[in-house]
Amino acid sequence: MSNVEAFFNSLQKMTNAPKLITDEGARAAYVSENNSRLPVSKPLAVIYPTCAEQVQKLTELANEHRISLVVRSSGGTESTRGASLPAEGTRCVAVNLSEMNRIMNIDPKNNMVLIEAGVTYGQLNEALRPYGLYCEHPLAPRAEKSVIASLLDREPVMTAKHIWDIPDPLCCMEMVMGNGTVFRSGSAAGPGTLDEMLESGCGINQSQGPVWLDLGRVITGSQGTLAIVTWASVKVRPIGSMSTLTYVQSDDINTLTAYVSMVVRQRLGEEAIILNRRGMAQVFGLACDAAMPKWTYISSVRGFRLFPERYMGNQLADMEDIAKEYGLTVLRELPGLSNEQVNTMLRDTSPKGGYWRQRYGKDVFELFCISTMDKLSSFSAYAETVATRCGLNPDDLCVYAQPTQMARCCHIEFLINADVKTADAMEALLGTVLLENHAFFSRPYGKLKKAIYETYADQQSFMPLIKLFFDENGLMNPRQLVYEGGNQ
Amino acid sequence: MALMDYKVDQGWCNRCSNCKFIPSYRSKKAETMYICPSITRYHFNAYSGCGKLEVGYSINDRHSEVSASTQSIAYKCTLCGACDYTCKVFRKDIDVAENIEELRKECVQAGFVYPEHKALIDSVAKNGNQLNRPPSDRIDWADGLQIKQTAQGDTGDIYFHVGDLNSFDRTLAERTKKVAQLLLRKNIDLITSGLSEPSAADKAFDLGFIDNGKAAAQKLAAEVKRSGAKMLVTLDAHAFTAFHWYYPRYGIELGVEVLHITELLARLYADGLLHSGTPLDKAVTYHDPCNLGRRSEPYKGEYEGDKRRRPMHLTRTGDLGVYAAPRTLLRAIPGLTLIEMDRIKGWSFCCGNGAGVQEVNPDLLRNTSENRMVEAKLTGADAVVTACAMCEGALATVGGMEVIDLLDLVLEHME
Amino acid sequence: MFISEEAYKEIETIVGAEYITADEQICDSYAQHLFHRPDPQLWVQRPAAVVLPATTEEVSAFVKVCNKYKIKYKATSTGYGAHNGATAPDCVLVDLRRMNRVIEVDEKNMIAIVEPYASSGEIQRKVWDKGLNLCITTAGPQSSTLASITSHQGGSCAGASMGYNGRNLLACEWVAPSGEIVHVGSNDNGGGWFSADGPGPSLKAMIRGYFGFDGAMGIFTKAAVKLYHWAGMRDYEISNDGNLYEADVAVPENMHFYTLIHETWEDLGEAYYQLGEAEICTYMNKFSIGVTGWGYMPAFFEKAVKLPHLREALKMGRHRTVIVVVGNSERDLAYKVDCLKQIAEDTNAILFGGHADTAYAKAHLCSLVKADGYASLFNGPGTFHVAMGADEALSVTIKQAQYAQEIKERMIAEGVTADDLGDGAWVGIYDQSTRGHNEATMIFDPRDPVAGGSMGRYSAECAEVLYTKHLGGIGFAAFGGPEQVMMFDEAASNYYKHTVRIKEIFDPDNLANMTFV
Repeated sequence: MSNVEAFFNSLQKMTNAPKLITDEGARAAYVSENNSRLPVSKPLAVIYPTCAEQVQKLTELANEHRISLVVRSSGGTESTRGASLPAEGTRCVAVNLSEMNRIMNIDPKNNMVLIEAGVTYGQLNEALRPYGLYCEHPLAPRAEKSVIASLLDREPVMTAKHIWDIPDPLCCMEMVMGNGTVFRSGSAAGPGTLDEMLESGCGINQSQGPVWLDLGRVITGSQGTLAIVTWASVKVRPIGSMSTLTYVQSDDINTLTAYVSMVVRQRLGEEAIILNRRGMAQVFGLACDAAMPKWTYISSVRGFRLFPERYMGNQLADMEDIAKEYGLTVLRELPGLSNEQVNTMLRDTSPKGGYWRQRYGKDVFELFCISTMDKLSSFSAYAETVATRCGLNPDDLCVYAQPTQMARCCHIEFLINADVKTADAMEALLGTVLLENHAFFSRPYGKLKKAIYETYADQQSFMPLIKLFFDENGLMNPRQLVYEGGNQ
Repeated sequence: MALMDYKVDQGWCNRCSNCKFIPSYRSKKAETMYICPSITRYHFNAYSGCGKLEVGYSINDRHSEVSASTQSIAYKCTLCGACDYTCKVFRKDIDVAENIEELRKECVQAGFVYPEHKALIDSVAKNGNQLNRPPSDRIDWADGLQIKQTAQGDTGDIYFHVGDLNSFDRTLAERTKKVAQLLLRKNIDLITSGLSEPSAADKAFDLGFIDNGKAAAQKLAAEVKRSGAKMLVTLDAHAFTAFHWYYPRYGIELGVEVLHITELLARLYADGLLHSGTPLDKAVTYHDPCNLGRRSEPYKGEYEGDKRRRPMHLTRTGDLGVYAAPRTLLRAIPGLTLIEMDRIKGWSFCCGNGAGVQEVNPDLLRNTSENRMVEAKLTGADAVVTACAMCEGALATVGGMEVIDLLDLVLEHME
Repeated sequence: MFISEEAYKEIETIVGAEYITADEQICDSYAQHLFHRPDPQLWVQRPAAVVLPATTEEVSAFVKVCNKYKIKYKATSTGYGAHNGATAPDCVLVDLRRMNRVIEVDEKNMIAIVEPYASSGEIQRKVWDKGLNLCITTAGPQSSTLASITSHQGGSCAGASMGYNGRNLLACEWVAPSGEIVHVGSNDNGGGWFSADGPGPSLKAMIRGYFGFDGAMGIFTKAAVKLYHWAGMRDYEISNDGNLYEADVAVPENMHFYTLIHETWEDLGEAYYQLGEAEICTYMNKFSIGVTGWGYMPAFFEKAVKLPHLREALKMGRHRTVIVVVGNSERDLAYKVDCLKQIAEDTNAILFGGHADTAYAKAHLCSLVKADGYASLFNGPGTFHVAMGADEALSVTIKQAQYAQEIKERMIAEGVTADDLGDGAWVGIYDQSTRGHNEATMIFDPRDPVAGGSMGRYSAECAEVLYTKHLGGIGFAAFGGPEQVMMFDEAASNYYKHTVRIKEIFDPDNLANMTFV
């Protein structure tokens, strides 16, 4: 009996065994819906656990039988970055957590939720609405996007001023390490069971710890190569009793980002995004008008429990005063674009079948990095030059900048529709240019991964040690990230 | 008092490191953030105020013995009192500087004595000065002056104390003479010991030779008594600290009010007896000598109880040093602009020239005086003014900026 | 000597003869710590030697020598507390005093890059000038910011507006236990210091948890610290010669100071939730009147608590919160003040204050913004112990304070500890959110064996409460000695065993030695 068969047998003998699908169609979907431009392998099977105990047990068995696992939390099998699909040449079993989708607790006093890995943004915000709460999220994610997967991947949410540190709003989590050990991070670790802690009034809102550890944070950005997160606590925020939108536009990105930095650090506004002209089209479907300034900063303002109107009025007036200092104007609406349309995208998931990144088709090239906002100007110029060199119209290049960590830095994302060959060329050329100009790829994807790790050589030598700690048998999502020295 | 009497102070230090820094709320520049010359030069914690408390505790708790190492630590220190001053901002129950004095006493008692220091102290008894100079080198600064002399059996109101250095250096002696002339012109009833002035022996106390210091101090006290004076005014800042601190602490009664010359001059100015004179178009900064400032705060008596409950009138903080008088005089000089450094008054950074450093740790002297001159220069002033011959000498050696003694300014620009 | 002559010589070649010593008295000056330890003692281990490297390269070369000869070592900077001490007779202490630069203040991106001995006060002075500020912990402005963000804790009265220092670390330069120089985070490729994490998994999070390793995980040589917006004073203008509480500081009109007094813990808790949501505090903390009184007016307090009527009167003010409100604009200030008034009204509090122009307000405001008065707390019975400290939901941290109060009140009644009115809690808000921090303090005289014993009991009982009542974590029990550390291990995800595993992987010979376990 092969180790795979033995694994399946053991799995099926489990009390409360998870669903195991070996059906060719289900497995093939993992390949057919891959639009990441990376070759992938068909999984050997797909397991659908429904609870944390199953995940722990199956991971233990996987270690016993040396079976590699690839985890996916979001619904469906589509993947634009390929990280949740078995890498080419690997023999893996897929673990699909989409059926672990319980919202375990909503704590309106502490503004916290406890959710399982398969809970999606659409589902969570729906559940939070009656409490007057919402979950901060990335710009209009897919409705079926797993909240935990998104946050574990350090996908930036829009409320820069509430992002005190990179993992926010992700707090504590339960993980099953690649070696099968269960660990709860932050204050979730205990003492006490989760129920006992909740009973004591805990918000499960201290993300670091216990004591010298911060393992939840270690596995952010690891693309499923270290551990499987079964549930996590996430900070949520009051929706507020009233809100409005502001827009500030400029052709000069440096002036605009200086303004953004100043308003965010003064805690003015809530959601805050920067888009270039094409970005406005990409996100909101706004017809591109050459007369429109090249860059737009959109920020919402909300009023909360105490003196909401006055709070909003103050925020707007302070924004206007700062804008004046930079020769800018705060607009309350934009021609051709309703605030309702904007609010829909800021507050909700993308409409089904209308994911904004694929507004102009699925053949989209995407590259993102993070850097300080003052680099936005030069990085955008490089991207336009590269697009032109690759035979694309630079006017079609969408630039989305997401300030984060109180605007100390921002996620900079370039999107353009391109065929596979052109996209490959774009990736190689723009990736090289950005790397040479010290762009930081906190979340390395695609064919650029190797170059990124080679560039960040200091830390690379520690990746095998981290891997060893979590997954000594090298079973988690093999060949996805570069763990020098084996266990790839 | 002995080192063992400070075991509680030593053990009580909470190791906060405030003794190394000028308090944050007074700090203005990176160049002026530190306050302890010793750790600024030598870096190991033992060289800080708290480090020396810990060395003391180590000895008292029998973790180590007084040794050459203790000696090295205790004397690589200008005994400027800055650590004590900053500590007292936060804690009133630890006498940091006294601990250093006790460490030095222990060294002397255990025979860990630098020959250079021994020579100075022996010179007090042998030569009547602490400069290791033959008595014949003493300059008769009073020559030609109509000034009363104790040797002639005179008595007077104010005993004019000059100090060893001011009697052995020609330039200083000339200044001394001019100061005496100024005071005599104001009809002040001065009396001096002239060539027979007993040494104040401040160095003996600073270096831990208490018995030698006391013996010399008794001589001086007898001389002052003989003079019939009601007040002593000294030109020597180090002697000034000795008179206010060491003498009463070790039971030597001078029996007179003790003023520094700058205090007397400031009083004369306030009384209308000294006036602004020739203008001086100059920007200066003022260096507070440690021994005119925090170190000179008068002895307040011993407190036998738990120092955590020690009343403030028995707590020596350094706030009662002489800070105002020199500034009063500087402001009285027409045309002169005073630009203050960051580290002034109780937070003054030492010039490096004190407590036997010059003789055995010249590197500490150099490092400290250079540090102070960097700060002086940062003010943009034309000159640095001070009121202590030791400071003047140390700062002038660094160069790069004019160094002026306050008395010279008074003599030239006040009448 | 506990290290070989050969090794000593090699280290001497690296740092220079002047900057290494095995002198027993110099070493003893690093071996006495009254504070932050689980026992009422003073001595910690005398190090075998002390070295004073001046550069990262020297640190790296030193660590490589330690690896070669299997010498234990531990880094220290401004050195406040027993966690700075050596851990074994053959441990070499690395005093980072010579690395003291504020390398850069990146005003635009709100980051400062600092060396280990750059004092928090010095950094603050530099960044205030640019309209920025940083979180200074209660260790004070003379303490090392780098040590706080990389290696120790990070609680502060600035936590409401400037977070927990364990989360204020961005990229850093780190000499790994192997001696390699590693650029952790975004600066690995010279891209800037703005991110601690990535590419991929976070190496930073392996080497700095909720608490840092206190020098037992390599040596941090440079770190980028987050700066925050600051609309308060740009400079400290003092118009008199007064020290600390007598200093007459010019406080701008937009800086207000308030005192908020609640009668019950419940009301206080509700107020804190609202304060967090309204984001109105730049600095805030609950300052127990007992601990404060003992620290700043020890003689008065010692007598006052013995007079029943005065004791009762003082107790009325024991749940006292002090708040600094800074307005970014006139309207912002007015709004925040009105919110504060509303919160006071809603939670049955007494509120007084306004523009900080009285001596009381100035003294408090200044000690909060500079964090510079805490050394005075040792003026009380002598030292203090801090228990609880498990950061969690505000209501839970307040429960911790209540339990600690009960425990201490019992001991006060028994006459075995100083009477600080029972409530020794410092409670604060983090990140303008619902997360709080509570330090349950017991002041005690370490020379008094009864008081020392009470401290041990208090520490153990507080740990027991955290454990049995499930109050959000381990907190300061992690510094409560091996017994407390091990008590929580299995109950808290085997955190200790995992920590040991990390050490085994990153520092297989355990040369950088941990203090408390």
